[in-house]
Amino acid sequence: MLIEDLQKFATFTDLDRLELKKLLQFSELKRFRANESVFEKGRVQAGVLLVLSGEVELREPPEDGSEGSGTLIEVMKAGDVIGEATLFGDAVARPYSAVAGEPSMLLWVNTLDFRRLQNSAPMILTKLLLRMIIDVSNDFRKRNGEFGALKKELESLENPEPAS
Amino acid sequence: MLIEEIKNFEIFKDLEEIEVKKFLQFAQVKQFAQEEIIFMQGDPGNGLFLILKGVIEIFIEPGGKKISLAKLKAGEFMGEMSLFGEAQKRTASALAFERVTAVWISALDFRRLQTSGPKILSKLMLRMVLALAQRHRKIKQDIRQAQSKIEELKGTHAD
Repeated sequence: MLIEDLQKFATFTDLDRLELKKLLQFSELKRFRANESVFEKGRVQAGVLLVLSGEVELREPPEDGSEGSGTLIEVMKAGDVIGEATLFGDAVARPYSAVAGEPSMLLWVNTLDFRRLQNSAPMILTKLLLRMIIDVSNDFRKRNGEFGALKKELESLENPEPAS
Repeated sequence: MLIEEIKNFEIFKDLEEIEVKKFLQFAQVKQFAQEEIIFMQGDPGNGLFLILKGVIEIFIEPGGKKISLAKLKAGEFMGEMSLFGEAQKRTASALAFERVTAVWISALDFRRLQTSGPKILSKLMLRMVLALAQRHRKIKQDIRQAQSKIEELKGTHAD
């Protein structure tokens, strides 16, 4: 994929060509077809996945070990990050499975390369992290408003006003 | 406030003492008594405000009547949008709901730190991303639960 194409992703808006090239020395672009497994529950990994496009479904596999798709826990969209907690410590087993809900592109950075990037090009990292903070904050605030409205609706359903 | 005390806050966990000192050359630790106004709607917002301890209430007062919009706790922050561009006017007021300790860094000093101490900033921002991602997951989960409860109750009422 060309650098020019990558620059179109919202996550990379603040990076120039050179910075993007440098970032790709420490990370890996991964493409997934719809329904393709991103990782399975229990896989031990240390690193972070950043959703650039498409969507990834986090799923709890069926308890009986059958091949079904299991229970949907969460849908991760562009700008969302998966596995960020592993950047602070040792590799951990994934607590759920991840499947591409539609054709998706992800950026994978393992913990070791993340640390290397932090040491050799921290400015790139600050630009990337600031963009992530803004995007997730915006979505968080939007959802907070949505949750407030749902709470009100729930309250009125639980305590309906007596008919006059 | 002592460097040792500051290092106890989650957000500074990954910083060396010398890095905390450097950060504090660019940022200020601020303390607010309970009920103290932190800023008013319409004030220029030109920096990042990061809560270390306590609770901040965000509110508006249309026609003089106070309406609470949100309560922000330790680890949460405000003003991140102003780090990208021009100063923006505060769209709501904020007061210390309980005694608050916070760090404030102006947009200009944020840029200076990004240039002269980007590693320090990347460590802090990574902690911010971690906290934010957790809250983001929690609110999505809360929404799903509320939606399914509403569906359930609507079904009950329809019966």
